[in-house]
Parts: sequence; C-alpha cells; structure tokens
Amino acid sequence: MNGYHGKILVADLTEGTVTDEPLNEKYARDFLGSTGLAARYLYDRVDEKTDPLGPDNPLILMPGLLNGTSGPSVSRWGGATKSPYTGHYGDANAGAWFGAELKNAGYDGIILKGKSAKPVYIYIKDGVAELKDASALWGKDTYKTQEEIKKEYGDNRIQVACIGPASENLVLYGNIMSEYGHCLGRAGLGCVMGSKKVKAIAVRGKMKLPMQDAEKFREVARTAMTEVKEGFLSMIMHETGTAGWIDSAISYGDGPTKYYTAPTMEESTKISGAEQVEKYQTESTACFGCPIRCRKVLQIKEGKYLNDRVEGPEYETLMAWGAMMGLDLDMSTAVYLNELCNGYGFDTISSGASAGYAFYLYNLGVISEKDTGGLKLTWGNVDAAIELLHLIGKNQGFGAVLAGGTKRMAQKYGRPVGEAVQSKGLDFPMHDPRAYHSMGLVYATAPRGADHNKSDAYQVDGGTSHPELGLPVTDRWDDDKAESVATSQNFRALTDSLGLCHFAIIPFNLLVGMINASTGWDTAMDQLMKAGERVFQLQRALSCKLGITSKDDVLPELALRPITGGGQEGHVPNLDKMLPEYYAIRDWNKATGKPSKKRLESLGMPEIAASIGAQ
Amino acid sequence: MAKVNINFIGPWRIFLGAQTVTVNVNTIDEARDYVETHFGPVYEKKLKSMGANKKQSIWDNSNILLNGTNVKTLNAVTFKDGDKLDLVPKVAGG
Repeated sequence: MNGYHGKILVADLTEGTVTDEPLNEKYARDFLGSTGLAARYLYDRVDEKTDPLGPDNPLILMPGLLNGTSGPSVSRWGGATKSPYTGHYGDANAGAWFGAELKNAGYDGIILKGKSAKPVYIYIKDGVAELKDASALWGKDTYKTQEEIKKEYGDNRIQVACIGPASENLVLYGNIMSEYGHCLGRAGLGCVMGSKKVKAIAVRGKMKLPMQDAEKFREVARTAMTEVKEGFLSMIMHETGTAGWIDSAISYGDGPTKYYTAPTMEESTKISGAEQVEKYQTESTACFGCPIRCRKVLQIKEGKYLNDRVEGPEYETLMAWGAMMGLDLDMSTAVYLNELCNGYGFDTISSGASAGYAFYLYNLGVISEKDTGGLKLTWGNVDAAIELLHLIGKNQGFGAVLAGGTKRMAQKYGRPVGEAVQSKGLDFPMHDPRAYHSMGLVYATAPRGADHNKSDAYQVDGGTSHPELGLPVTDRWDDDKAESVATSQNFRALTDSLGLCHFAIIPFNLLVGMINASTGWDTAMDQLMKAGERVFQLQRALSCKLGITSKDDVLPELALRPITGGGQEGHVPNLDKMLPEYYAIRDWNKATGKPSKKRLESLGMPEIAASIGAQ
Repeated sequence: MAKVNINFIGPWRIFLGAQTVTVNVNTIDEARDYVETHFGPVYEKKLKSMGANKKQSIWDNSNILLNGTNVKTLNAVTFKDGDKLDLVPKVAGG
C-alpha cells in the first residue's frame, strides 16, 4: 500500500497494551488522512450515550496523507474525538513536526481507548511502541514535559505530543501540545487524553514511506516548493506570521473587542506583526518541510516579562487574550500570556472567550467580586486577566467556572444562551462575522462548531484564495455566500486530510501529481474535491449522530448586534438568507439537519446514510 | 488637488519601509500611479531579497479602503483633503 505504512497503533489504556492493526484501506482511500480519516474511524466508535471523558470515547490521532514526504508545507496532522467541551463531534489539526515523525516511525495513526489507572506515556520508535510510566511527568507543564522526554532518550529529534496541567485537571478545552507551542486545540482533545491519564506520545523513526514513484514525487515536490515560496500569501506570512493580520483586522473591524461590544481596539497595533518585526523578531522557524517559515522567534528586552528567546503569539491568541478583555497590551505581556496558556496547555480562543465573557458579565453587573473570588474584572485589567488564566489552568475557584466555557457560564448565571458567542458550544474565533458575513455562515455550519479553519471564507473575502477554485471575490458584507462557503469548506476538508497548510497555495496539477506519485492512485482534482465533500458530509453526519440538528445551525444574538464605529460600519450577516441556500447546496434536511440519503450515497457512504436514518 | 494620506497597513509597512505618505492626487488612478512608481522598486527589491522572481503589483495585491470603505463598492471616488486611503495586503490568515 503506497503512501501509507498500512498500520495503526491501538493503545488500550485499561488493559495496558499496545497492538498494531492493519489500516483500513477503503477508509484511507476515501478519507485520506488526518481529520478526515480520524473522523471515519471515530464514527463507528461513538454514539449519543458515549461519555466524552469515559473509557469508551476514543482519541484518534492521524498524520495527513502527505506527512513525512518532501512536499512543501504538508506537515499538518490531526485528531478526532467526542468533544468534552461541546458534547458532539470534535476535531483539531496542527502543524510542526509530530505528524511527519509519526509517519517516519511507521504508523498511519494512533487510537487511544480505555483509561489507565496511573499516568503513562507512549514511546514509539521505528515501528515498535511501548507504554511507559509517566508518574514523574504528571503535573509538569507542556514545555518541561517535552524537554524531559527528549532528555531521557538523549535525542532532541524525538517529537512529543503532550498535555499540560490543564488537561490533567480536565479543563474541557485542554489542548494536545507539540513542538512547544503547536496545538491540537479547540475541541478538548487534550482533556480526553488527560481523562485517559496519557501524559504524552513520543515518536521517532527513520522508516521509509513506501511510494509508487519516489523520483517523480521529488520532481513534482521541487516545483511545488518554488510555487509555495513565491506565493504572495506565503511571503506575507514569512515576513510577519499570523500576527501580521492585526493591523488589517483593525481596518476591517475583524478583531472582537470587549466581548463583541466595541470596535476593534486601535491599541492592538502595539502587538502587531509589523511591530514584532521592527522591534522584537530575531529569526523565523518552520514546520517540517515548509518554506514559508511563519513561526516567529522574539527577544523581549523591555517590559515587565523579559525573555531572551521565545516564540511569538499567533493572531488568535493576541486578540483572545487582549482586545476581548479590553486589554491594552505591550508585547512583553502578550508573550507572557501566550506562554502561560501554552504551558498549562489549553485553548487560547475558548479560554480568552470565557475570560472575556466574565469581564462582560462583571461590567454588566451580573457577577461581582463575590463570584470572581475578589477579582475586579473592569475592562482592561491585565492583572486580573493573568490571575484568571492561572485559575483556569488549575481548574480552581472562579477558574473552574471559566474552564467549562461560555455556554455553561451563560447557563450558570441565568443568561440567554445567545449572549455566549459560540455556535454548537464552540466559541467564535477572532474573526467577527460582522466584518465578513461569510464567516457567519461558516460558524453556523462547521461540524465541530464555530471554526474559522473549516473554510477559506474570510480569505476569499480578503481577496486571496486558491485561484483554481474560481471563487468569486464579492463584497465582504454581501450575503450571497452560500456556494462559495460550501466549496471552500470542501476544499479545506480536503487539504486538512492531506496535511496541507492553509498558507500554501499549490497549483492543482502539482498537488495531484504528488498524491499520485506517492500512492499510485490515478486521481484527479475533481475526485479530490469530492473526497473533500465526503469528509465534510461525514463529519456533519457524525455531528447529527451525536445530537446536532438544524436548530443548532444558528448564530448568537450578541454577535448580531451592529457596531457602528470601526471597520464593521453597522453590518450584520443575514443568516436567514444564507442558510436556506446553503442547505439546498448541501442537500441537508431542513428539519433534522441531516445530509440526504441520496447525497451520502452519491459520495459512497450508504452505511452512514443508514446509520443516521437519512432520507 | 487633494492631500490624501496613504497608509500601508501591516506587512506592507515592512515590505515598503513606510507607514504613511501624504500625496496630492485627484483620482484613484493617480493614487495607484503614485504608489507603483514610488514604491514599486522597493517592493521588487524586497521580493528579490526573498528569492522570488515573479513581478508583482502592490496595488493588485491590496484591498483599497477609502476612509474605511472598499473603493470597489463606491460608484465614484473624488478625493478631498484629509482623506485616508488604506492599502491592506490582499491576504488573510490567523
């Protein structure tokens, strides 16, 4: 089987065993890898009754199809589980080096099931896996955990995916962290790993990936490398990283401020990518095989929290732990907050949103110091934000309330659910749908909940998308977005399954060329786009299997209140127009929200149609 | 002629080595000519330093906001003194 090693590692934590199972070749052909393949494996193993933190909920981690090859920017790997945070389908993907090293270690995926009685970690080297005692690692932050494991084996090239104290403490949006600050975030995959008492997975290997035509692959990959390197998006990301988006976000009103109630803070320019380049940036680093090098290393020589060498925060974190609470940050504090989040190992978006919502409730008079443990959550109180962050990581005191997320907070304090800015339980990322109406449709329909990475919509509206997708660039406040959103969701479901970074624009003939040279398939781009739709519809069907219906495809009321100042100019997305058009394109049932039997069968999934009772 | 402030937003300020310039222009075409003539060579040099050889336009790689509104949505553009023209790189991500 070319392009794959043909085996999956199954770790039964209850039994304390690790065994190899053959890769399901049909699943691999249909769902490719990473979040696509993981979702298909997950589908058979969970239902509405599955307790996300119980032994029956598996955590499934998969490299992207092209991980471990010399293709450019194809390092992204992913995972899926029943989310403890949202209660339904959850997935995540990340860059860095873990996915490639897992492939090099000889595996196409890992399934964790059961629950260990004591802390363990999994060590995999060259096709052999073993469970190891992790008692000495339990309680350590994610940075220290990675360092200790590498030190133990005297091998700095070991790649470690681990959890921190937050997931040990069952913070519902706990992350799996790798290569220091890279995370499988959002849906609480780390929390599930913590519930199983698995502290880390360490991988190392030099096993050659079987390829149909390795020479042809290298030739196509070389050309693709040049294309990626010279792309405009690549060059922008190379120069400033995602933090470069901050200034643009201010212009567009894209960055949520004071929990969605104020125009994007102009003061955020002090932590922008341009500011980083001019004052703090010392070098750029890259994920495996990526010429873009969007990761920025900073030296913080001024401010309260000095650091000689530290990775810079991403845009999402800078906004979530900044403007959301009205914080007027300097770079020193922004970096410090990012490091704390990564060390504890929790999602910066959902934690920032939960903290932001707490600030909102406090300033509204709904909660007081009696609720917060004495913290004064006046907008802009940085010290209070730092204290909240620690409390979340420890899942203690008022932090335990925030560790459950905004939807549970609204319920606890008797607030309308539409005040918590989330969809299907997952908090909005830092792209406000009032700045881009398309993002409203994306957030309302993405399988795991509000998710900016499941579509190119804001990129399309920003004027950049893959030119061969042929998506029209229309006004960002138009509501004729259904077709564009559906197509770009299919494309992202495809690229996520391949392991391809969103910032790398590879001509389709080269992408197809790499896949065929690796696997020996004779596929074409229309078939790959169909695979993308198959993955997306499968993930939707799984959400429905776990209880999601059309009633959940909504936007929260607070994020639909117009803001007249700043770059939004009072616009709000018209979901009543976009959603019916989108349902028609997707062929989803208006009452149940389920994909139709006909559509699922046309995508080669009759068993899924039967499973959810699709009509 | 109107005095217009042209702002190079975010990464543009790094690529072009300038944050704001004040120019005397009457039309969008004149603003475009100014930008490409005065900053095109800077951009080209920067691209070469990054190992990229494709010729690219600053203007075509930008979204243009006049006082916050995309000029593409405006029927006619007539500048007045103090107008703010933001050149935002035509990318998104983060």
